Amino acid sequence: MRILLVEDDETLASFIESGLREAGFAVDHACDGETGLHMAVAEPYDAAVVDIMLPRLDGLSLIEQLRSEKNNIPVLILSAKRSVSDRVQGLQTGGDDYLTKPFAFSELLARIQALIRRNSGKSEPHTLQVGDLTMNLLTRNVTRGRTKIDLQPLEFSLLEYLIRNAGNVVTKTMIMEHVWDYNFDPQTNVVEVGVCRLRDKVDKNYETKLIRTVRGVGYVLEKET
Amino acid sequence: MFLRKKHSLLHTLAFRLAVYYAVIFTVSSFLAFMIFYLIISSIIQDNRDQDLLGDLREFTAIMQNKGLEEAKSAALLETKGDGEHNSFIRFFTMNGQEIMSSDLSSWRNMKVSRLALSEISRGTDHVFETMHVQGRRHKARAVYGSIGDRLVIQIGEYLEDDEELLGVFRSVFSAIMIFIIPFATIIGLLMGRHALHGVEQVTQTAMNISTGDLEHRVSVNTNAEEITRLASTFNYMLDRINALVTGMRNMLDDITHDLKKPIARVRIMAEKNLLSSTGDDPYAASILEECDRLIQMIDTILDTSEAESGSTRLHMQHMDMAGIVRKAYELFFPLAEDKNLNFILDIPESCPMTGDIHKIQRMVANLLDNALKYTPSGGEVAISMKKSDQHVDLSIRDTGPGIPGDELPHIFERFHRGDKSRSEAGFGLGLTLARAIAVSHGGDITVHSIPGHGSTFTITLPDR
Repeated sequence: MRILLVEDDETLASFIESGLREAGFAVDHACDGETGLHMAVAEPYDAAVVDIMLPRLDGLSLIEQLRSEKNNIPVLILSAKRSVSDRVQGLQTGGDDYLTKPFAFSELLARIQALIRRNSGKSEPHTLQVGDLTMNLLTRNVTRGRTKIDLQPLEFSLLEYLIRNAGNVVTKTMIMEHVWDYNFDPQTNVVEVGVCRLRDKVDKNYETKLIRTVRGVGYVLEKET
Repeated sequence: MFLRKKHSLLHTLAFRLAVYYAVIFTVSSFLAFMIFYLIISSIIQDNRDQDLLGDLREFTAIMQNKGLEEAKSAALLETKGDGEHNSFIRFFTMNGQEIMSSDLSSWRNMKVSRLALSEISRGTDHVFETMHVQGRRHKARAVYGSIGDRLVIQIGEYLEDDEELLGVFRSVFSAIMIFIIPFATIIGLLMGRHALHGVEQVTQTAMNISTGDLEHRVSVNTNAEEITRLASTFNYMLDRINALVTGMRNMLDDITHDLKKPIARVRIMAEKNLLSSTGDDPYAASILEECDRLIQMIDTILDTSEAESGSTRLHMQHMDMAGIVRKAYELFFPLAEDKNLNFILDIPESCPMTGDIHKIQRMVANLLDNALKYTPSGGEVAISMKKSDQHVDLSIRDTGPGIPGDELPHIFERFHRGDKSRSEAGFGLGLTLARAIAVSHGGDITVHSIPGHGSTFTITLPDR
């Protein structure tokens, strides 16, 4: 998988680059909009990460030109602006997803993977599986080994989100946004409490613990057991 | 704090102008009619008096030339000619002794005016008298005059024609007045409306601006110089405000961008460190947490300033307020359970309205955050919702420590935190933002609190 990163902040870019390489991607980096556009047209990429505020050619114009040339590469927009109208404008121009700075690298990674997955056009499976944990999305049955696990609707959504991102760290902000559709973090530790409940049902009575806390960052559902 | 207050018609300038106009117009028309009427009636009376005086001169001449008997028969003839119903003639001696009269069958109980007789005896040429006639509707006018030989003649005429003519005038005038009052009121209202149309336009524009739209301008094409000046002054003020707000927005955007850039770098460094190191790195975890806190703080300050300055672009959508509250309740329920709180939800099945979903979610969550944070273990937090025609009231009642009276007015201020809450986490911006969101939706948040027993926060939103 090959990713194009167009970002003028060198420090930030170097960290994103190394992070994506560790996750198994090949990354090319452009420091300004014009170079970014040339690279996107010349090389076949699986996805692009584009900052909005760029020297020489801004991110939105870059996407516009790509789309006018019928280039359908999935694009994730990075921006410091977080208002709804900025987001809507970004998506209308042809962006496929929008992430505001500062962001968690884990979230960036999860979104890039989701974009590539969506673009590959694979049909959605009815059953999700990690280790001995199985989740049926139609019957909403969850089993670990042979034992059925009863989950509240919110716990089900939380576990589904963790399984879909299995192996990757999900942050509290990502959980709030994707599981509860809240685009902010409440001051009280609702996420910790929610994950704690889920652990009681999924992990408590088992030798291998699936849900691991990455201190300060978030949670990860281990892929390999 | 609903901006569009119902103003009573009675207090509008247009209505008062209409009333003043109607009163002035009516009073002046009435005065004009009165003067006209007085002049007409005095002319009529004058004519009548000249008529009587002419008769008096005639009889004086007959008396002088032909004697009393001839005068008497002339009197009978004269009254017969006019009709005994309409006129009469009497002859008196100076002391009031009646010596002759015409047919007085229509003129019952006629007195003799002693005053007039004594004036005549003192040499006055003639004296007029207006008198009531017993049993008849109209009055009569009479003249006393000396006709020589110490004799006095009284010639009287019934005033039926004169008074009926004046009566016609009076009824025509009253009919016109009855039309004039409503007519003047309507004209006054139209004039007031027309004069104040420009002012109304300025008001409309001001209303639009208070909802955050700074692009509107008042039209300056009016006939009235005063309104044109008001409009252009107002427009000038709008230009200034627009420039200031745009400048402030840009500055906020710049600050946000410049502040977030270094935070983004620090954050990703800490995160990489945590993700790659095998064991826990306590410093990196703390740095990450502080970064997140800083980001939240910047975002909350920006959201609050935007909402307070009215420059937020609300993303208005149809939504179910009950659904949002129910979801928030489910989200916070495990937390309440862990804290051993009695968490009660009592809201209608659904409550459709219009609003910015994410902002409303945040407002509700902030208040629930607070209530759950400050209520001690074993206490109670209750959510209730009431829907009326005009607005929706959402109340969140807790059994926390309550808020002392002297702190109540300040709890919505930025960075205000009650003494009791200093040990708890938070930035002191939650309530400020919640209220700013309510206000930007045209509503408000009020608080009722009894120290030692708990507080109730009530969000009121207009049902649009």
